[in-house]
Amino acid sequence: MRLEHREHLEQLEYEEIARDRNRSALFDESGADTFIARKAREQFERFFVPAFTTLLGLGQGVGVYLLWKWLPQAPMPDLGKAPLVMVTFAVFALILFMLGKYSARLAGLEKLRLLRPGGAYLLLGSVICVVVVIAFAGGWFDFVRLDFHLARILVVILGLSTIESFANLVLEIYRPRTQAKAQRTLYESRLVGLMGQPAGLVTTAAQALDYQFGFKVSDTWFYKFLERALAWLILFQLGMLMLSTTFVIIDPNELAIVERFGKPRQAGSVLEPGLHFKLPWPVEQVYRHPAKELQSFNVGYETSESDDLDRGRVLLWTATHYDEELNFLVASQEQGDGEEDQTVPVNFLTAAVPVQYVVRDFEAWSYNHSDPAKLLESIGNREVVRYLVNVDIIDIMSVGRLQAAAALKANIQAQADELGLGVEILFVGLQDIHPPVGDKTAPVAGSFEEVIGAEQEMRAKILLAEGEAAEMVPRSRGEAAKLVSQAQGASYERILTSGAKAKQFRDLIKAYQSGPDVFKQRKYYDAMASSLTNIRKYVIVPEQVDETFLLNLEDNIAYDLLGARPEER
Amino acid sequence: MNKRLISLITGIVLLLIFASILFIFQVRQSEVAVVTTFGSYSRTIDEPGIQFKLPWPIQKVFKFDNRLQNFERKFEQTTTGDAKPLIIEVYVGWRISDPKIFLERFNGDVTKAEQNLESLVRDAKNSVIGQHPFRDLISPREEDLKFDDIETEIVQAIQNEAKDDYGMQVEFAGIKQLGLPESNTQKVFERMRADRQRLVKQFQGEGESRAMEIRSKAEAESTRILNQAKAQAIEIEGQAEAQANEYYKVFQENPELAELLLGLEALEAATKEKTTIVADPSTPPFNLFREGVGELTGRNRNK
Repeated sequence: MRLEHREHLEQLEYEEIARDRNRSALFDESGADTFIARKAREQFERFFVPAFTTLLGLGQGVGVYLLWKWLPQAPMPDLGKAPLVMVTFAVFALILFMLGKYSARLAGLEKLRLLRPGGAYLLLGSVICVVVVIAFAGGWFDFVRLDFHLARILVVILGLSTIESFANLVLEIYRPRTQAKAQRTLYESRLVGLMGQPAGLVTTAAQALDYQFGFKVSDTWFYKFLERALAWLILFQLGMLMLSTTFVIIDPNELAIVERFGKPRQAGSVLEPGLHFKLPWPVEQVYRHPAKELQSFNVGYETSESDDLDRGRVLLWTATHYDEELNFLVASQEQGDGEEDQTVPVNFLTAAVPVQYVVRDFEAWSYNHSDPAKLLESIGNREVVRYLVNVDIIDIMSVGRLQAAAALKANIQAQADELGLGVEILFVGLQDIHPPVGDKTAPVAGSFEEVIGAEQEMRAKILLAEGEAAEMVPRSRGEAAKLVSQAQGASYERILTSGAKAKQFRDLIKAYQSGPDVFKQRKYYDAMASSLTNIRKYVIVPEQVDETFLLNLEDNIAYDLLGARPEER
Repeated sequence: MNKRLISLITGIVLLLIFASILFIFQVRQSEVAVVTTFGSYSRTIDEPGIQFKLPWPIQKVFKFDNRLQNFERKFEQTTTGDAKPLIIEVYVGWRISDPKIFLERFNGDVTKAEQNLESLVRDAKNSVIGQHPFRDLISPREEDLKFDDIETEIVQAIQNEAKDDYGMQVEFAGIKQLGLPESNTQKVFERMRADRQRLVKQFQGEGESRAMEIRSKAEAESTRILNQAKAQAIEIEGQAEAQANEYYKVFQENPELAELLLGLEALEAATKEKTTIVADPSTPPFNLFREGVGELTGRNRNK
């Protein structure tokens, strides 16, 4: 710029000299060494400007590369201060716009052409500030990642501008140099100029409209009004902004705390849901939290949203229920046996303990701890661990379960009260208390089930035996009764038969006495007849007295079908 | 109104806003602030309210959270006094007690402060746990347990150093999680399984023995019942025999006839089945085969 200024002075000087020359015509010099400053400027533009442009382009290129790489891992901005950031950037935008506009207007004058790219960059800065405001507004109104996409677009534009810089550099070499036309500075980006002056687009559009409709839109009352009332509008906007900070609407699930210059307000510092009035920002500020909402955390397991849907409706001990299940250490009754053994005398237990709570004292909740929810979660974990190290595994899985839930609730509440968290524990559930799944070589939960199976088997065996016993004893009773009855029957028979025989004998005596020989003979033959009727009989008649009979009286008359004797077979 | 006046007012308002940003700052109830002038410590503000400062870069304000902060980091393996491995996670509640020291030591960086606190916590945790046997942490007997004492000891071990060197007041410590290393976990699984297997065997044995007991009792009972019945039957038979004998006294009236009849009866019973009789022809009535009916008749006539 200074070079241009010197050139300008030099030109004036030269003109004066030329006028003098007309008068004296003493010197007639028009050589190249007359315009030293112009030469210096030309030298500067020939060497320094391209070098500077190259550096600028390289810098932009590196910037584009680094920004593009960094963008995906950029952290989310703190939206809590979004209004403040938006106001600040809006003010920046305004200042940059005014400076840029001023530079651009000045650059319109021929002699200050070097101001033009600077002005364009200032205007671009202003546009970027507006983009930041839009990004924060997007975040504020829950358009997630709008800032990310806007940032991408800006990086792309920066990249394009870099390419344009290098293209300009190359094109500059082939550009025909004419004296009449004012040179564009090498590092002036047309793209940046366009971006920095979207108003230029509007003007062009307005001119197009003017041409189309035949009258000057830019002369309309609205355009004029806007020009006249700009200061008013700014004041009005500021006023509205202040006014909008004098009331606050608290949602049904929220509580808020009002601070006056950072101190909780003397009267009614905690705001319930509804409409509330307060002094404007920055005198009074409101901090809200969904404190009326039921809040919860899980001890012993971690789960994802889709968990319940994915896992189906049957929860078994032998399969994990959640993404991550922790094994708690539980005391073992057999502790102390294995002093020599490196195996630690403990049991594992998988426990899933959901804890639900609400905030009761919002001031305590807000001011005593930086992250009370996290602390309460730690306390919950600690109490579960503390409780389990002192119980027996079987006990807690069965009869101790209900008692455990109540004790845990009381313990967590006591700890939370001691640390002044201002919460009320509503529910502590022991929704899963079971042995760990174990692994393939030692499926623990499975072996617990085996025990239950064995117990059932035992009961089955006992029941079976009881059934057999129930059958055996009555059957024996029956047999016993039968034995007794048979004996009785036999005894009746014996008694009655003997009675009858006695009676018959008396009668026979009479018959015998009337003819003893005949009676004897008759009885003898009767007996022979009845005895010998059905049996085999041999009557041997010896012709010689000294003859000997050999009789085989074996019972061997049962011939088989072939007619052979058994011993012949 | 004059347009220039309005512009002036707007300008003043904007100026005021900028000035307030430069000269005024607020300290919240939950904050404590340290003001430095050209980098050197000037004052600590621990009361909430509005405060004045010289604009940047003359004075700088560092604000810290003065509430209790929860710190927890690692699930770390350590060893108990009786050389049993244990994984333990501890959480610690701390707050900034001296903002000046805190600023000097960590340049106001809470992450850095927590990194340093972590070293202290780990050291204290390991040394405290190293002094206690395993049963102080896990025991079915309440009187053995020193869970709460261990936590207190950890706090005491860190407290002074944290306060003097870091400007941090450690208020409490808690054991958040206990675990065992992988290899021990495996062993515990195996032991738990063996324990269950023992119960399975016990139940099986108990089932067998109970069933056997029930069965043998039932068998004994039925044997008793049957034998009682047999005894009763014998008794009944005896009585019947006695009674029958009463009747047989009648045979005394004519012993000769009785002998004959009983003999015949016995003969009849004895030759009932599968008997082969080898008879002499002189045995009546087979003598009839030899003598013939005539002879018999003649003999009878001779008689």
